[in-house]
Amino acid sequence: VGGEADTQGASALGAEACLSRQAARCEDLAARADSSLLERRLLPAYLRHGCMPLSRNAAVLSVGVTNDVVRERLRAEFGSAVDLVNMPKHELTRTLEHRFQDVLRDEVTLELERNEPQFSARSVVTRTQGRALAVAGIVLLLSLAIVPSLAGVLLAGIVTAGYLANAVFRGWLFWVGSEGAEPHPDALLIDDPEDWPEYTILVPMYRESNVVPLIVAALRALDYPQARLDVKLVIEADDLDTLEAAYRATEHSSFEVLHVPVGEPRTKPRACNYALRFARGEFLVIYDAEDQPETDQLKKAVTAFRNAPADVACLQARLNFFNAKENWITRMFALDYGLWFDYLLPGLDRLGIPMPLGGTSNHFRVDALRAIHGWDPFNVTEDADLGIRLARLGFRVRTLDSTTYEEATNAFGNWLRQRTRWMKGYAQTWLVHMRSPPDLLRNAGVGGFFGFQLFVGGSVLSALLNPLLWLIFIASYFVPLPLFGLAWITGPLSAFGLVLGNALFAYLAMLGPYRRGWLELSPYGLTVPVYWLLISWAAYRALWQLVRNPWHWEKTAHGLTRMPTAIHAGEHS
Amino acid sequence: LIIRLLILLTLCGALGFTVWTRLSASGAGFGSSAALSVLAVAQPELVFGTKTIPAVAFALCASMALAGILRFARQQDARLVVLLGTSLAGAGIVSPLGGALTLAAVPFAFPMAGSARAPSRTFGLLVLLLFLPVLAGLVLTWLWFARHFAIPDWIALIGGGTQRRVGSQIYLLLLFLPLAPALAYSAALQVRSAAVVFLAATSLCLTALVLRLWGSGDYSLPLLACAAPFSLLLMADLPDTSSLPALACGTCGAVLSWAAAFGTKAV
Repeated sequence: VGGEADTQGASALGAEACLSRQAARCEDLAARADSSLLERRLLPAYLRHGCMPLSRNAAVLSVGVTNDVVRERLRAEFGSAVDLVNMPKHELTRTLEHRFQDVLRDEVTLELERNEPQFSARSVVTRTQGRALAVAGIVLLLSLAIVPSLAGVLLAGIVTAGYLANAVFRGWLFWVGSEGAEPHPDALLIDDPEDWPEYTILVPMYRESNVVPLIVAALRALDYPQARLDVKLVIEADDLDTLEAAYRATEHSSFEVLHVPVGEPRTKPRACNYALRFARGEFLVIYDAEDQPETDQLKKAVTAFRNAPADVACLQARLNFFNAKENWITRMFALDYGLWFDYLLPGLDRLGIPMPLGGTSNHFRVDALRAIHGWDPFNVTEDADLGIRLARLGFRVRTLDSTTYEEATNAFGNWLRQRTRWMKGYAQTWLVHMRSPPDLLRNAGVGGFFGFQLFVGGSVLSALLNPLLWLIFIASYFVPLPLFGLAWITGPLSAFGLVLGNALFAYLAMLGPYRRGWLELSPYGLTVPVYWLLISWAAYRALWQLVRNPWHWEKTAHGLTRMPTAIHAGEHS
Repeated sequence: LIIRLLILLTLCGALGFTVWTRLSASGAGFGSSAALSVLAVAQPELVFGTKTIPAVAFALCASMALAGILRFARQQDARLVVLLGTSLAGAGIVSPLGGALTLAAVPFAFPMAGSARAPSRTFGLLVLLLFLPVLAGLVLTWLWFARHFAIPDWIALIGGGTQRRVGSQIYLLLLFLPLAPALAYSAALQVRSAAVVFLAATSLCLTALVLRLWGSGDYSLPLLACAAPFSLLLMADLPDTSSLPALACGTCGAVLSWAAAFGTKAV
């Protein structure tokens, strides 16, 4: 049924056969279904109640139902006026997907832009921002041409101050975030599995057939009533290999496979927006294909949501890596994540500063997510943007003391592509939310405004400035340029920034794994200055891409680790 | 003069408060804690010293570092690592020699975490704890060699001495010397925390005496100045601290400290 057009040209015969089987399963229902009876506005209701009209024959309406409760209610209310047809949940979803695919293709791409254009990253810079950047550039060039020494000193001073401010801000966040963990409320005591809220799990995947069995096993291991799970593997309709692997891995389960209609931009947030239309749960979480969440994470999230005020729309779980000790890059990555998720984000949480979400293990209240029109498909760090947008629209984001273990990219090329995307996405996010600084100030408050500048803008700016500081420092000693006429000032200034800034970053990185007791990783923090230079490389690459190809999603390959992948993440702790 | 007095009072207050907090936390009564804190602060350096501020500053840094080590041996959290590293670095900057000696106590923080018993983790923790003091040492070295910022002047300014006989380079070397014994001691996981204070206080007193005999007297007084706070912290760490023995020990510590000061002056 749905997506056959997209599957033409399939190269893998196995994939074609698998998809044909799936198509055949829905064909019968689709043939009987009368499309004119289905209304787009009722899509959430069809999914929530687990029923949909199939066809009308004279006075009798044929209705597909997925559960006994609905069956009884319809029977009691309409009697013989309805003909009830049994229908598994995934077939209902697939039929609806097929029916609304064309409508949703545009909707999932453009909903945010149509409703809240000021938050869409489709335009990289606004006209005003473009003018401001141009004026700043001209002033800088003129200053360097007319009063090079003074301009050089001022530039060095500003660069040093910005760099240090970012380092000090992170140090402060670390301090606040390292305060003893908030006591976790006791897990909710719910005896009847049916009383747990329905939880939607979205797993967007693209060209990741090799890790599908892992995520399916990890999701099956979750300590949550399986009947209350609404698991959706979200796969691009033309990604036949992953689709085949997904159908094979979920053959005997209630997991559903969604076919994201092919369209541009081909990004994870677009796939998530599509899947959001089919979410049945009260809560929703995103996992990546290689994720290994701790088994009690969903129960912890439900408990935290139940104990939190209604305006807490999202909980960010901690992330770290199951292959942290594989090589230097994975170790540095683990230091990075340890600091970020174990200290800095809790620090932002405590200070009430808008929190850029991490790409996975974000738990949402579905109503809130729909109210803010989901993710921005044009932002390549849609998670970071979403966290800021939630805060600006009056919601709160908090951290959840539960860990999801991921696979750290273990090859430099892969790492560079991923980091480039993150840097580009952070730049997009900063530009989007700085379109109207007064609005941001009003929405986020003074602390939130400056926190956003340092944490989001500062992340990109620091990476861009770091090599500049090195250059100024070295050049001020060896290059007899008028720019460095006041070398006795610029040299020490940049040296001060370099030493203190890099030392602070290195120290914070060394402290990153402390909470997990991974102290053997701490000495690698001494190599942070080298790692930072690589990040700077990614930042300049990101800057280039931001101009040339802003929405391009550089795919990070997973499943490359040679280290064992534990299914139960608790084994790592 | 007023500014110097204000700084001195602030430092003395902070030192007294550190000792008082530690004693109160260990169950000593308010009066005893206050009396012992006064005894800890009323050091010979306040009378004899020409470098009183650096002496009290060093006593404060060293006391905080020691208190941090003792606390770290029981309870590990990231903030303590930062506080401990900062105190050690501060002690090293105020008095490179005293700071180096204080570093010798660092391995005693290791009985702590079961999780840190693997050699690689022990090494990781050691690197974490020593990062800030070593960084401070490197910056001082850089200031000396690259910027010709005279360490003796620096010490004369805030570090507690004006003598140049021993040579600034030796002080810099001394700063790193404890790294070796620190590594060696890290295997001694079950040492009682009381021994830390004993070792630290004894080594400080002995070093002060040796330096005084050698002729670098100005360095000895700051070291002596922190002997009494150390002994008080030791008492606070002992179980069942009761007021009378604590007061007696504190008085003894102060008397010893003063006696040593008179003795070295006589020499």
